Amino acid sequence: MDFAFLYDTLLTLLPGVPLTLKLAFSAVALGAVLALGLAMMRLSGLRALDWPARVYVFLFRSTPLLVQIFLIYYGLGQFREVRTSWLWPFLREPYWCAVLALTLNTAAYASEIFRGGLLAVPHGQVEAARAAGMSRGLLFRRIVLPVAIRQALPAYGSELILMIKATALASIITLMEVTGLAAKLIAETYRAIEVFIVAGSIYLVLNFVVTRLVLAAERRLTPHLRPAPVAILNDGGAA
Amino acid sequence: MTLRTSIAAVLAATLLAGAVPALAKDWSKVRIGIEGAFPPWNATTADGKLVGLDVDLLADLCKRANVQCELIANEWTSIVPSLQAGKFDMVMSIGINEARKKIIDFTVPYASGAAAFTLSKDGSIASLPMDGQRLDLNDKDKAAPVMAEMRKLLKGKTVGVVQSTSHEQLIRANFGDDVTVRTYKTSQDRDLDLKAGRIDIGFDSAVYAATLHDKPGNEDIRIAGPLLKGPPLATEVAMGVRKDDGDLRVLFDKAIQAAAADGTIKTISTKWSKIDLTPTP
Repeated sequence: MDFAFLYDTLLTLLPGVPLTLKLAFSAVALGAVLALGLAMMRLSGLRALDWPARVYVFLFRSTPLLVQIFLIYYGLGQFREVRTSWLWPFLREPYWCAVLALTLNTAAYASEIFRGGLLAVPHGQVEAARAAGMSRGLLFRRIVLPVAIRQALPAYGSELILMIKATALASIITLMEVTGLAAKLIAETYRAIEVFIVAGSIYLVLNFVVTRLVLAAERRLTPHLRPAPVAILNDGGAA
Repeated sequence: MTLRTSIAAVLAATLLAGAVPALAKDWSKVRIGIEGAFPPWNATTADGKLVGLDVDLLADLCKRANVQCELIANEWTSIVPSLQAGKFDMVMSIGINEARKKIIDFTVPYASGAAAFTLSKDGSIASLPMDGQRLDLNDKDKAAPVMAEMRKLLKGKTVGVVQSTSHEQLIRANFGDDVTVRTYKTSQDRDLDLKAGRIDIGFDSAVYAATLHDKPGNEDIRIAGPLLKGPPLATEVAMGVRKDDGDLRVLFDKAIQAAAADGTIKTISTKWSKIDLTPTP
């Protein structure tokens, strides 16, 4: 193994990390808002809201993200109407096209995860909150949403990891994130194995941090599932 | 036939089969990697067939070299790594340059081309100097003022090139600080962005640029400015071969020289590119 080359490769690929993270975070943040909206539409019980959400989720979960990115970037740019519209300053930039495609894609998956979380909120807790006189808004904000997030977190963690990796597809629309830089370096040096090992390791480190963060969040949100502190147990045992 | 003689036959066959590659590789069958997305050199039809100047020429060269050729389509950016990994034995249409010579060997050139700019009809650049005239970058007295004028015209613009081509190298070397370079996987991706107005100008092989306008959907793109030749451009186009396959290279060297001498390359290149690309000896 040529460690000097691996080190040089790392130095070449690291400048791509901020763009990778920016793409992933923008898409996850915007996607989460959209996903929550979609999940609520699905659970609204109103056909006029339920069906559009169903169609949206079906479309974006059933087509490859690669195709979605390609159609949004190259496809939309072919129409004069799009090129002369107020949207063009955004759609002209590969960055915003990538954010848009990633956002729309993750929203579809996340909406189903959120829907599962919302459905898993125990009915007894909702009834208790109602009995305590909570309004619908307060009930949703204080009881339903926190419990739903807790239930959805393990599955949502996977979606976060998928999004970090999905940013690699942005390289096909000329964005020089980690994979884009790796492809460029391979084209220059013809050393695909070493470059991909380094690129893969960068994603590994990024996702290691993400999994730790998700685990920490999970722990924080489930204090009731942790064993009680030892001192109290001893007290109880002595009695 | 007894069991013993058949065992002997199998043993003999095994020994022979083991012995042959040690002497020289058997080149009765040659696998050739080709991009299939760089018309008119090579392209893929809607039903998946490879066509183009390269394909016609290969049919002729393989007959001359008396080998059976199998064409394998491969994405451009990984074509040389795939050659080295043994996915095929030769690669088609690579521009010769020094950096690439360190990695692989080349046959003698089978075509001598040029590079040119492409503009979109309603784009931000109206015209370039020296439309359609040849300009050799080695001829510094003549090239320097033209390149200086180009530099002024391109200042602040975005130039689209295919990633890791000699076209990218030329743009970076000559206009690097003044322009934004955007790199694409294929010429077609770049052309879509030129039409969409995301980039101001494209730079590619002159053959590609000259034939672009005639394809459906490309009515708004045209070739413009000088036809460039000289370093770092790799306008001499050859077949690439692994460094340890010298015998295969010699086989195709001879075939290419014969095809250049008897006018076959002229016929095929004029048919596909409207330009006589016969390499100068």
